[in-house]
Amino acid sequence: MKILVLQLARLGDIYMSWPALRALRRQHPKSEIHFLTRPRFEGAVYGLGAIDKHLSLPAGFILEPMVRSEADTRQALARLDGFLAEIGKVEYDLIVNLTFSPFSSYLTHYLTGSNTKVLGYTRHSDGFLNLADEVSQYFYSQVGFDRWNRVHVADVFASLLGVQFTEDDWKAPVMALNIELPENYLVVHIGASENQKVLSAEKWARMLTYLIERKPLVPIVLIGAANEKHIADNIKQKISSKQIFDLVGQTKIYELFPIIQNAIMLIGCDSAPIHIASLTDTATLNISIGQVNFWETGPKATHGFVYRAESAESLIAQRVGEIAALLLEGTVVPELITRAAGLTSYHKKESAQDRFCWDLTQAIYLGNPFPVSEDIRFYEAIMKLEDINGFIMEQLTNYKNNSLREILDRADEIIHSISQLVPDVRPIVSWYQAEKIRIPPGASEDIMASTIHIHKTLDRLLKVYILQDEKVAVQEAEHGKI
Amino acid sequence: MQKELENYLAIALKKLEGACAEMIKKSTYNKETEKMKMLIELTKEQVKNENTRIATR
Repeated sequence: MKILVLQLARLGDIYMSWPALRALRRQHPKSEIHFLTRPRFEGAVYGLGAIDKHLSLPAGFILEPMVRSEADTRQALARLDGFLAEIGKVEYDLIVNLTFSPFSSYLTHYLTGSNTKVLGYTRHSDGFLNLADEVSQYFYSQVGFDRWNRVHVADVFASLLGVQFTEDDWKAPVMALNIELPENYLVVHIGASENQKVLSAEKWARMLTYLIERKPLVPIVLIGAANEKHIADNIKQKISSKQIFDLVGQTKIYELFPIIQNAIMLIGCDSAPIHIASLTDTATLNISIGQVNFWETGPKATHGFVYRAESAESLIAQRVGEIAALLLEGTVVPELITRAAGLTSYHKKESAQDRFCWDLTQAIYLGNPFPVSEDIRFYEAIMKLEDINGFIMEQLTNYKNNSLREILDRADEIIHSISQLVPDVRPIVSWYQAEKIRIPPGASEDIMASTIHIHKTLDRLLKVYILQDEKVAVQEAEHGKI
Repeated sequence: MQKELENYLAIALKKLEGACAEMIKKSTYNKETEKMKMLIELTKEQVKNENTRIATR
């Protein structure tokens, strides 16, 4: 059996795919597994023994003719053709798309043969997005920074494959530490995958200054990419300390494995070293800044901790230093988000209302109890959605109406607007929108039947709250409140 | 320099999208239009610094 796995996202996503690839190998021990990544991030495949062949998507080469004052799209298409011809030589029995992106969905569909099973995003024959499996539907509707999913991406991958992880799926590759480092050091990753996730040299310096004063015997090893060298240089200008060992720009990504494995703790923002530490099971303090959903991409190390800051500017560097020092002393402060076992990987102190959207998501997808909202606007939005849905269902009984398409589109716009105004209904509306996308091309009658089914299911979902609202109204009336 | 390259890509992207739309109008969705769609999405991801999470939908 030949299996192709696509992971065309970045370093951290590739490392988060390692457990899934190992589980896939366990599931299909005699299969040939090919793994497609971008050449820029191929360092993250080094040491992954579960695959048979590593393939590269030559994105830079394909796009080069377009990055000119006179773009040559024909040449770019010809280069893409060349890549597709090469990868298309193999007829895959299974394609697993772990990328969940538009490009990967087109590529998956292009490579799908008549006997190929597909997991993850692909396309229908008419080019529209195909969320063929339940996990893809969930990913499309509920996963992302601005959404309310709390299942870690690595666990979403496991669900897609239908596997349960074992301890071995999370092991680090065996690599020797070829750099001389002191004992019992702390490793600090000063960079991040995006500018908005990174701390300034000044903030790092303040944090490390506090840490050095509090823990003078703990060596600190700085790591980062070559293009982050200026941050390290800046930090060292501000702190003159023999405790700091600068490895920034001196290591390949995979050389970080033994460095992180031998550390007493890793401190870093949202980036690949956090996920390396998940595999080495090194204690981790993840400084999670801005537009990051830590539930999805936080540390999976047994002793993993998340410190959330809305922005780099709002983060109090000295406080982070203090928190890190306390962790080294075995004390976990209340403002830290801590690791947990179960469906979600972390435990965070929050109110039921803070957790509402996640509880609602679990109710929709897992059959958990529907949560009660304390916000009257939620119930008002539900009633509006129920009205519109009722109107749509009436229109659907007359699907030969020439204006039906226009009416349905307009109704969907209104549903979308309601979800923008009242965010707490978004899990339901996102579910609905993803279900509509899942309808495959086909005969009008079949499309209509699928559409009606979706609206009936939506009606049942909404009625959970309509009936609750009526019950509450009845109870309040009996107690003389209204 | 990076900004200049992004500008070239953005201009090329607009042309590609136009050409693809024309192609789909003249014939149904097929392997050739699929390749063009691939190139369009690959370009968009590059402009977003290969952050496919942003390009997910």
